[in-house]
Amino acid sequence: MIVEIGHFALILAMFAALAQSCAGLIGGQRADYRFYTFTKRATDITFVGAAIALIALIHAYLTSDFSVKNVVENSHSLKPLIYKIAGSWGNHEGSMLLWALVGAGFATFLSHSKEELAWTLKSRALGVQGLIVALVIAYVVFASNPFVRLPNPPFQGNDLNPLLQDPALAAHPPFLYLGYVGMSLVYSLAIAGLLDGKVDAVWARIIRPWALASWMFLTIGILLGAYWAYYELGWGGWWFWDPVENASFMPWLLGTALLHSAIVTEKRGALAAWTVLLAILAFSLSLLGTFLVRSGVLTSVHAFALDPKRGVWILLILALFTGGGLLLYGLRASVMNSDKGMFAPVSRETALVLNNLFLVVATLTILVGTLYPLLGEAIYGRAISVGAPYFNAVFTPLMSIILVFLPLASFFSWKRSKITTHAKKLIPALIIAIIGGLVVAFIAKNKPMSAVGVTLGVWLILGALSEFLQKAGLGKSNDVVKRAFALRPMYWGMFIAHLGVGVFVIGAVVETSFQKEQTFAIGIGETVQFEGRKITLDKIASLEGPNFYSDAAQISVNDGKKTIILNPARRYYPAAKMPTTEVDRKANLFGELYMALGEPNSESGASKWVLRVYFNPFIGWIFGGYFLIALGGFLSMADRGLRVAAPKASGDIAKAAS
Amino acid sequence: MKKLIASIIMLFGLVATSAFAQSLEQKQLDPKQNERYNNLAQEIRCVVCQSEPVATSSAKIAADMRDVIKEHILKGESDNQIRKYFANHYGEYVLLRPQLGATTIALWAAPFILLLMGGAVILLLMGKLKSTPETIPPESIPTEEDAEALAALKELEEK
Repeated sequence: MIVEIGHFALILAMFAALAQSCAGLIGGQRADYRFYTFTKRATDITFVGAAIALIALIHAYLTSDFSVKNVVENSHSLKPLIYKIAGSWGNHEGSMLLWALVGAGFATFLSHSKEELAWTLKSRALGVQGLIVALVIAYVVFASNPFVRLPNPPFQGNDLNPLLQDPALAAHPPFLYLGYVGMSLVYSLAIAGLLDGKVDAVWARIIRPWALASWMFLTIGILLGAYWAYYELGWGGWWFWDPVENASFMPWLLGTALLHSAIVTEKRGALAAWTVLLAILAFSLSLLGTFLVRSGVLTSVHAFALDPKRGVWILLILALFTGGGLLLYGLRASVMNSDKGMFAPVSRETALVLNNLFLVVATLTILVGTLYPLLGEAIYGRAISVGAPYFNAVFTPLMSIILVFLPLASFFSWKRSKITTHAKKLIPALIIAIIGGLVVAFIAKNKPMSAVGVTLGVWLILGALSEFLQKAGLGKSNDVVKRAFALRPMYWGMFIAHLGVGVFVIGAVVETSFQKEQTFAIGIGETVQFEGRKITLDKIASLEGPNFYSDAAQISVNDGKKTIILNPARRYYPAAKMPTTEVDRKANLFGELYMALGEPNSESGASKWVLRVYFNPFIGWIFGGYFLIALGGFLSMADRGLRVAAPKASGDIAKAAS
Repeated sequence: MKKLIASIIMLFGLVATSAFAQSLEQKQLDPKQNERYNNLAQEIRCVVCQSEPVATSSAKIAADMRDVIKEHILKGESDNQIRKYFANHYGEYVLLRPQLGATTIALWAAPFILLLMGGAVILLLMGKLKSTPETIPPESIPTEEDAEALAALKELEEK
């Protein structure tokens, strides 16, 4: 019964979203406030309907209602509670339902936000968002319905893919979708701006918090995914350039470009057309990501649900919003007055334009690489693989170039700047960075690239610090620390995010260059040597979990001073008929010892276990750096000055001008 | 029942990776060769997996392919000879880092072309900026129209 209520609520939400869409667009077009009021109510109904639908689905999972096909395919009565909840969105149908709910939620948020933005713009944005949500719900209802019942319900479910039964991955889809779908609201606001005929500084200020929020959620979603890959897949790696990873990374890169160009539009009224284009493309790439993941056109280790028929649906939605958006963009080019804010070749504007150039080129390169196997098949009739080695070879240099200039560019002032005056302030940072690089070059003589990478990382960290301290009045005031804390959250956000980039670079370079890996076949009671440590397999215990069996090893590691115990394990999930690797890790200041237990093997008589041992230096810096980037986004978002719209803006500008 | 399952696990383990264990003895490779081996194992695709390199795959064929890489390194072949060997044997799709050729020139040229195109557009626009007289105006201020509309709205919302 509850399942049917959910199903009904979802269909209701679809019609409410359609009504929201029509009323919102008409209200904006005719400047009729009654339609606007109507669309706001419809937005609430859409949201409540979609929420009831998801709650009903979660209820079916919690009660292990095996008359629902989706529950049978993805759950098991013995599955732990948290994965019953997370399982409802850990599968294709449920995840698309979550997509719709988040989309409706963003619309509701916009509808109720107290921001003083033009109501015609808001009305149109709600209209566009309503259309997006309506189509996604239609897709869920007609092509991927999670509420389908089975005529002959089985007694037990097939269980969720055990790899997905993990805390980080339970939280991964909601965050990722908050990011993807947040981009849909930025898109809606961009289209509304085009329809409204006003794409200017005020508009940029309106979209900025939404762009920041979705970008931050996307950052966290990607971070959780990478962290999960690191400890769950058991290969010590954290980024594989898998098509699905690329699908989330491309909107992230464009989102990063969008955040930077929106600053120029907001502060200087320039680049408005470019910012709108980025908003359209960022959402298009989010949709493309969904299409690539769900249609199965690209095989991927992460593709959990593949169905070509669904691909056609998503492709149609993608074509409608990308094509429609770009068409409108072309038609309304005249409303985007780009030459409002002039700037000199050396200025903060130019620096941000170059930042955008490289970020967009990097994004498109990843897009080409991701789609090239399809093109190769279609054009040349040859199967071509494009894997991690290609992406590393092209992406790293592109990013390195823009990162080298980041610290200097962050000093530039608007309109017109001088390189020499600012370069002086960075001399200490540059000297320390070079010393750091030389130290690494001395330690690791055969790895010159690691020295270059560390120099870049230190340069970024100290560059961000120099710029921040400068803002706090270094050299002018004795109270730098106090003044730093008084700085607006926005500046803290920029500092922390750029600092995070540097931390990440150092982590990534050191980890890739100096990772140690060795595979052993080890019997119980035997000892092997790894990087100056004695590793002994004490015992293997057979344990039983709620929905799995496990072989847990007890391994003592002696580094000459003290002994620590690690317990890597292998699990077998009988319902899903899948084994998983449960690694165990022990971190110290310099890195992390990482162990994955392989399969037993008794070929040579005595039974031996395969044990893969890694030492991953500075791995914490990779995830920590990425976390700092997300934290920077959060701090910027917390800045009230960003959220209060136009009237405050003109006040600020007046102050700045005087 | 439990015993049965345990034996299934054992069986699964044996089938899946008995070959994996064979590739354990990497001792014959000196450190430099070992580094080449690790790099090549990342570049060669496991032919039964979904875009996974042989380095991380636990499929039997991946283990065999790793052994082939090792053999060829021990024979003294260069990295390129080994790549060619795999491309000839399994088709060029086995290379995760596609070799530069007629079918992949567009792939490798893409970043350069995109960068050149973007750079050219920016230079053109910048050139336009330079040619304009030094009238870089103060700040962009929301137009009066905007301000009026916003004030009107605020009133509406408050009502």
